Order: sequence, then structure tokens, then C-alpha cells
Amino acid sequence: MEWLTFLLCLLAFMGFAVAKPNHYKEVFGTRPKGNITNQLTIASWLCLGGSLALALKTQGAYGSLEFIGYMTLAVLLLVAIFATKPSYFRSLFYLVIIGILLSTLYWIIF
Amino acid sequence: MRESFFRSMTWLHTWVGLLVCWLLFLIFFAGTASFFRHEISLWAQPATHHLPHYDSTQQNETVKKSIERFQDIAPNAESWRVEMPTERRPSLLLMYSEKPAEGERRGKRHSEYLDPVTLEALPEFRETRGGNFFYRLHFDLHYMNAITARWIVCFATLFMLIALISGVVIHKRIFKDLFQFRNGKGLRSWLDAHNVSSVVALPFHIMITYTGLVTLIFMLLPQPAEQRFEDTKTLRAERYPFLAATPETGQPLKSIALDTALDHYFTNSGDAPLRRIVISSPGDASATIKLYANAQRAVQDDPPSWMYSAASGELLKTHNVTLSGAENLYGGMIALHTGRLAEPLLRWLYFVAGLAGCAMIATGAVMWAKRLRQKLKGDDKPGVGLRLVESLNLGTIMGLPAATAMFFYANRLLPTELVGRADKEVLAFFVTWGVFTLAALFKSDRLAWLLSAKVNAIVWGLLPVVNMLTTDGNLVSYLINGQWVLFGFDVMAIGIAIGFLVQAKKLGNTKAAPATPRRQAKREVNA
Amino acid sequence: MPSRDNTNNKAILYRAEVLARFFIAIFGGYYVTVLASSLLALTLPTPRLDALLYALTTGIVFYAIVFIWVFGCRSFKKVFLGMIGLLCILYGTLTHFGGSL
Repeated sequence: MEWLTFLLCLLAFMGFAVAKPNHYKEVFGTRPKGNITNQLTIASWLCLGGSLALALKTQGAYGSLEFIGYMTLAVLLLVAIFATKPSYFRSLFYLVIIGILLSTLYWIIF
Repeated sequence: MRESFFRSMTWLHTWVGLLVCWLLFLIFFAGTASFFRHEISLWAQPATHHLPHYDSTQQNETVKKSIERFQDIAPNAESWRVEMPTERRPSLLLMYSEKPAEGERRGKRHSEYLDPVTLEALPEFRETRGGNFFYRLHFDLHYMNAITARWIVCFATLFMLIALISGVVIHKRIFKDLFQFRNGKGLRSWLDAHNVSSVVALPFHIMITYTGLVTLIFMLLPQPAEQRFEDTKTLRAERYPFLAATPETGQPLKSIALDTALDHYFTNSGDAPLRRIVISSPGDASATIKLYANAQRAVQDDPPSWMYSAASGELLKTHNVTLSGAENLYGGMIALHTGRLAEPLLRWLYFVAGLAGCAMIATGAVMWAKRLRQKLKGDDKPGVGLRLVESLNLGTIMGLPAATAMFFYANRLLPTELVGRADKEVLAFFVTWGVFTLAALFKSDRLAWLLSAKVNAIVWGLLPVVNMLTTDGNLVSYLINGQWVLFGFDVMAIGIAIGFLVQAKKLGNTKAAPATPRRQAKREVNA
Repeated sequence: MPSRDNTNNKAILYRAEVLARFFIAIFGGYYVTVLASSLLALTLPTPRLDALLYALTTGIVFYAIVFIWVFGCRSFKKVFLGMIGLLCILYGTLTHFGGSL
């Protein structure tokens, strides 16, 4: 459960990051086209909202505290990636997606 | 005063921050360490290392045995108090205070740490302040009157709050370059580091600063209380209804109705385990039993508590069992600040955020000095102010970690039977810090930073070794026996040492590049 | 004619103003906080302990707002007079409701 909350939060901030043209270029090598920036931002807000809702639903007020901590961790991680190797961003993205799927499955089954 | 609101806020941010940054660094540093207060205390007390994880299904048994022990050793005490073992503090703490002698306000107090299962005294218990030192340090400072210290801390915290708010105002593009950290670009990197460490934990910084003030609010703002309360006594009585003394009857108490009270407690407290038991005037028929619940993850600071008559076991009062909105708000803020509710995961998150706070203050202070240095032209001599700031930066930022390590060394190396041992540990802390600051007053250039980074790396790196040589445990045995707190402590020490090594390497690298200070500064400007 | 004396005077005046603003912000801010939270503790229509706790937990917000205002406001005269006015009004209201310092 905690994993799903954290990964959703991380995914949200990854979205926020690539919604910035500079970071988008660092990751994909091209400038973002059309209104992809807007779409990314909206999707990220949805993810972030989902993460918070999940934290609140499973842990109540305590969960909101954890959620704030997760935001800190997520941004720190992304800062570290952009400062060192922006190319790891894609790998991280796949890892996060797999992680989210696995933890959702775990949640449904148990 | 300046041309625009934005400019004046920038000015305010700089000066308000600089004025109190070293004190704030100390407060943040010690406060961050005190998130692991009980863990540090556990490490500092090797006698408790082998206590098994406490099984809370045993608590009924533990309470009864403790009371029996009190009846043996102190039947006529003023009060008995049992602090139950918790996840974080494996030993059982029994305390009692004697009846005050003629003309004294308080009786003599005794306390003993015991094995919670056998109730035997722990062998080789050493006198140490452990994690409590850092906890007290972050609001009482040391070697000074506690109330004065708290006023100073409050003042610094108010400035911190102002610095935070003005910081948010001037950072117009808070989300624009949220993930931006430009490595190895001189002043630009310091600014980025300052921004990142502030923004990533901004909710934490604001929360911890604000709630920190709330913890001392009754001292900081005594006047509101005087409006509708006659005096502090009435206020105390209303805030802590259990404090009201029950007049003694003079009749001896035949037996303590502990079972009735415990039964009532366990049926009414939900699943909350006991945290504390206090029995007042245990020899008299007027005796009361107070049971305090461990609030666990509830965002509430004062524990829910129940008070019973010791003679009959009937419920007299409850406190904090149902809270009003205001009590929830106030207690919730204190709970957020102290983080006692945090289980390991959240505790680590608190710790990371606290470190970000330390980094924020440190980078801010360093940046101020760097910026001024860069403005120096040609052969200008740096002024006294700049020199002082640079020295204090080095002395505080690099001195405090080293001082903390020396505190731990003193804990392990001082003989256990030494008189005033706990004070000597504290002395080791302050002497180290003092030495660093004094040395920094003479020399605070890159070489001095490099040297302090190396010293820090060595002392932190050797800490697990010294621990291995002076106790019967080590990194491997902790891992095998699943003593995670101690394992974590050693890993932490090594991690800190590696951190300082990385810093030393970076400082060394830049020095190796042949560049006169001026050319280097120019390069930084260009970059 | 911008003589050296003139700029010197200006610098001294500027420093004096900064000091005065700090003084006003720190002490004025504190007394505004004290008065405002006392007023809240006195007048909130809840049991007295609750009123007190509400007043104390929100009190610091006043301090922050006043501090920022003192440094954000461009005219020093406005800050000075505004602070005096604010303190008078708050003190007047407090005594009107039967409170005291």
C-alpha cells in the first residue's frame, strides 16, 4: 500500500518534471510539441491527487504526513537524476510503471 | 524601503536569515537528531542492547510485578510511576518520589531501569544523557538558564518563519525549476542547492517552524491566558485535571484495586497499549491510579488517560479521551512537531526532511559569504564581517557533526564508574565544537574545509569500529540478531563518513585545478 | 549637487530606517500578536480553554503578517503611523471587552 502511494506520487512528479520544456528536452531530446505539456500537467495532478487520496483512505491523518514525506523523497530523487544522468529518467519511468502494476495487483489479491 | 516589494523581501530574506543562521543550524541539527532520540539513547546504553523486543500482551503482568516491587521498596512514597517499555525503548522504567521533607517543595526522586520480564536491574548501567541531550539542546541550549535559552530559541524561530515566508515570496518560479540542480557551477550550484533543499521539504519547514513556536507558546505569549484565567494555577488545573491533589484521609489503603482499573482500561481504551501508570499517595486510602494510553499513530500529543480510585477501582475522571476542536488543533500541532507518532518509515521521512532543513540553512549561510567574496575586487582584503561569517560557517557546519561524533566516542570510551560522566560526554561535544570554531577563526579557506571534511570522515568512519571494540556487538552481529536500531546506527555512521569523503574529494578536486582565486571566481561568474 | 556629505547622510538615514523597521517589526509585531490573540482568547464564543488554545495556535500568523508588512511597505511614515494606529485600535478593543495587559 505504502509502495503504491509513493510510486503514484513519484510518477506525478516525473510528469511535472517532463512538463517543463527544459527537462523534456533533456529526457527526449526534442522540444515538447503541441499541448502535451498541458496534458502531462493535468495527468500529474491526477496522479498526485490519487496518491493523496490513497494515503488518506488507508492511513487517515497519519497518511497525509507520510504523503508529504513521499513528495520530499520523490523530488529529491528526481533532482539527483537530473543533476547526474537524465537518461536514467526513462528507465525509472518503466520501473515505476511496473512497480505500480505489481503493488496494485498485490493490493487487489491480498 | 527598496524599490519594490520583491526587492525588499529579498533583502529581508538575506539579513533575517544570516542573523540567526548558526543558531538555527544548531537547532535544526539537534532537532533532527532528536527524531531518533530513543534510538540514540538505546545505542548509548549498551546494557539495554540485549533486551528482547517487548511483547505488549505481557503488559498486564509487567504492571502487576512493578507495583509489587514498589510495595516492597517504597511503600510510603509520595507517588509511584511506571514507564512501560515501548517499541523504541525496550527497558522498563520505574520511578518514585519520596514525601517531601519539612520545608521542601518536592521529595527526593528515584528511578531505575529494569528488564521488563524479570524485573531485574540492568547490569552496568552507565550514566549518560543519550538522545535526551540533543532533544534538550534544541530548545534549552546548554550551560545557560533554560528560560533564557527558550526565549533565544523562540526569537531565532520567529526569524526563521519570516525568512521562510520571504523566501517563498522571492522565489517566484518555485515550480519552474523545481528539479534544477546545476552541479559544479560555483555560486549557481549553491543557489540551486539552497532552493532544492528548501522547496523539497517546504511543507515540513513551515510546519516544523510554526509548530515549534506553538510548543513554547505559553511562554512566548502569556497574556492571552491572563484574559479569562485568574492565574496560572487555574489554567494548569483546567488543562491538566489530573493534577488536582486529592486530600489524604490518613486511613491506610488495604489493597490496590489494580485489576478493576486495568479491566476497565482495557475494555475502554480500544487497542491502545499502556504507556504510563502513576499511583499517587499509594499508602493512603485516598490513593489514585492514573493510566495513560500510548496514543500510537493518533495525531494527538497528550495521551488519553483514565484516573481511578485505588481503594475501589472506580473511574474518577478521564482526560484527553474526547477532544474538543481547539484541543485537537493544539495537540495536533505539538504532535506534528515532536513526531512521537511516527513509525519507522515516517520517522525516516521526518529525518530526511530535517536534513534538508539543515542543508537549507547551511547553503544559505555559505552562499552569503561566497557572494560577498565574489564581489571583492583585485586585492581587496575581506572585511571583518565576511571573515567572521566564513569562520562561523565552517565552525558550525563542520564542527557540529564532529562534536556529535565525539559525544558518542565519550559515551563509549569514558570509564563507566566516572563521577559526573554524563556531563563529561556533553563537555566532549562542546569542546570539539569550540575547537572547530576557534580553528576556523584563524583559517576558513578551502583547505580548512577540506581538512574538516577529512576529520569528520575519519571520526564517523571509526565510530562503528570503536563500538565494536568497546561493546560485545558489531555491525555483523546486529545484522544476524536483527538488532535493527543498532545496525542502523552503524550504517548511518558509515554513511555520514562516506558523505564527508565525497565532500573532501570534491573540495580536493577543485583545489587540484591550477587556478588563482581570481581566475576561479571569474570562471564561476562566467559559468 | 550630490556632494559626498549628502550621500553619506543618505547612507546613515538608510541605516537608521532599517534599524527602526527592525525595531518596529520585532516589538510592534510582538505586541500586535499579543493584543490580537488576547482579544481572540477573550471574545471567542467557546469554553475559555478552547478559546485560549485557538488564540495561541493562530497567534503567530499575526506576527508573520505584520513583520512582512513592515518591510514590504514602501513608505516608512505609513509603517510608523500604521503600527501606532493598529496598536491603539487593538488595545482599545481589548479594554472595551474588559481585557487588560
